[in-house]
Amino acid sequence: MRRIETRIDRRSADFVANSAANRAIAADLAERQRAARHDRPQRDRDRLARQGKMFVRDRIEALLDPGTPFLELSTLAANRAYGGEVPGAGQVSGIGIVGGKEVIIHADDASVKGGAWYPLSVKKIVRTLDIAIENRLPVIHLCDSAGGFLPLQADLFPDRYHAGRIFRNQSILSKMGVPQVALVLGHCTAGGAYIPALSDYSVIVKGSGAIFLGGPPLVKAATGEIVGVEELGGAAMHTSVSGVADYPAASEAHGLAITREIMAALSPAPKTVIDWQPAEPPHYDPEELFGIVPRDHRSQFDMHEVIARLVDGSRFHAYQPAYGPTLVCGFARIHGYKIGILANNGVLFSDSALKGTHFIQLCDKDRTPLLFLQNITGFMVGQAYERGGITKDGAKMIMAVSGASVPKFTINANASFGAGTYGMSGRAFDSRFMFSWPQSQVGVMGAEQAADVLSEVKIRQLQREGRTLSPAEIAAIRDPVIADYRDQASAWHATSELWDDGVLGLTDTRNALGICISAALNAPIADPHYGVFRM
Amino acid sequence: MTGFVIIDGVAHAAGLAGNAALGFRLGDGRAVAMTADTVQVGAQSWPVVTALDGDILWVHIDGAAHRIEWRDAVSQLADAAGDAGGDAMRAPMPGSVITVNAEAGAAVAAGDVVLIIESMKLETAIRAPRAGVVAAVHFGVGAVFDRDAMLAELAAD
Repeated sequence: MRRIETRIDRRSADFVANSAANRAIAADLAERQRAARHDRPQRDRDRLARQGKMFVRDRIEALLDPGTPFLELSTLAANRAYGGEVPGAGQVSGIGIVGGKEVIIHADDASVKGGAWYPLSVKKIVRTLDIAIENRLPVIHLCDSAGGFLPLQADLFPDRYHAGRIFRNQSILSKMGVPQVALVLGHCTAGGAYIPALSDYSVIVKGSGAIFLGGPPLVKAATGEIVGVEELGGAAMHTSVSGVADYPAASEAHGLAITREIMAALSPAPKTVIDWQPAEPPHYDPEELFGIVPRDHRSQFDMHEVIARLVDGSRFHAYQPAYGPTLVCGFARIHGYKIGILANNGVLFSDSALKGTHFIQLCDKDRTPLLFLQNITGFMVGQAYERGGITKDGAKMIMAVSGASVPKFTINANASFGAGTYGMSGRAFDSRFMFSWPQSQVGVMGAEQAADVLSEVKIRQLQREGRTLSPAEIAAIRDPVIADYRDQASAWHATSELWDDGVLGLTDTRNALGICISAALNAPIADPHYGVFRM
Repeated sequence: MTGFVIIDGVAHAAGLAGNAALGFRLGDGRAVAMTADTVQVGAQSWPVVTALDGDILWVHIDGAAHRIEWRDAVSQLADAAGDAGGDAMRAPMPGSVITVNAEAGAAVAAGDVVLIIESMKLETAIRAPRAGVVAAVHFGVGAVFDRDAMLAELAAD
């Protein structure tokens, strides 16, 4: 494959200004992540110390194989919910290596509201287990939760993707033969009791770990029975009498060591083999991404320049370089794995959608995973395009994206709007992993367009009543709409709501994708098969 | 991989073996051996000095400096066929002109921004496909055009 020849002028005023703006955003991202990971009220820190408990991040550090990478997911979940008081939604989720196996970790963070499950905590756990199912990743549960947050129970308990889905997913994983190990580090009460019970292996720490459907206060209220935590659901009882848990541990460190030993003892599952070559770093410095991504959303940029800073040797084989050029398609490698890339270089037209559809099918036949780099404001509008059948060509692309059997990965690199989001494998289209760049935006349409549509509706309505609006009155309608849309379209909002698996720094993207591709290959790839393409 | 070694501007088809040792044999049977600072052909040897500048290797041997460049086959053959970029700058999508950066008569380098257009709330730079002189800019600021419209042209060489 040929090296992309860059056309970037590193000394141009634009490059320098973009660099400054994007580095400031990168610093903001790093600070937000640091705060979500480590800033806790002192009283919560003190309580953990009193209980002799390790901080969740220290537990994970002790669990992972030394010197191996850990890809944390959805670090900033719930950053804009619950008054900002539930960092990470009280959960840590991520992919790492334990006992030589790629695993996904689900860990309750007891330093946040005692590890209580908020609605977004449940969404994060369910997503973690969905990732385990889709990629056949063994799961390690580090259980230390006070249980569901009762004032919001209606938003976390009854619905299809609420708390019950956690236990459903655990059962499905077991049925698929994907192992799960639970380490009980605190009280697993009510529904939480089923996490260790539904795991293939469970370890419980003496003194702090306990499992019961109802704790001592509930038992007393229900039946009048007076019983202590240890007798009701402690480590000794469950590992020697009830058989609810398998291994007693004398301390957290002991429990983590037993968990590592269990993972190491499991037979390794064979991975799916795809085209791979020894990896090569990009020829162009990935730091240059800061100067390439524009500081103004409306400025277009050449995705070839982005691809050149993500892929091995900056090498790229462009497919149909002269046809439908607003969608860049082609082959490259990331950490040695061959991938097919679809990247937006402008609005989608019929020809670009047809090219994308064809390319997805080529990749599927060739067993080549797909990477979508989104910077899409939508499909072209207007009479000529409707007459040309742009909707049926967009439908073909959506059909191909939905039907592709190979793993898909999506990065919202700048913008993801309207039907363009669908054609470019947005969240609803089951990409194995989806990340946002910190300056990116997502929404049904851009803030300005939405404000125009809404103010136009309002103006017409008033015109029918015989009134006309002054520019100041129009601005009074438009401006709040723009502010609202911008706010909800931001990457911070998207990741708070788990519309993605996390916000990725521009220069972290290549390594994160390498981990994700490797993780995805734990699952087999089905034969290509599709629905009906409207011709 | 097969490509071209361009020595002092002249392209020679050449291949790279995956694990070739630094030595080969000429057609007349003489062995060629190379080290970091000498080239030996048969019984004769010459001192060499080399310097790497990006993809270009400068070699000083026998009193003269030579420029050696490796190019992959696709790029080299496309350029040889004059396919490096035409004169036309066409509209990738319908829209309107926001700014004109280079008027007729201006000299531009490959990749220089000639105009900036707006379409679907997106600003797109229209760049010179090759180095040259702008022959004409067909749309002024504010002018509206269709997809594929000829926005600007470079003067033919």
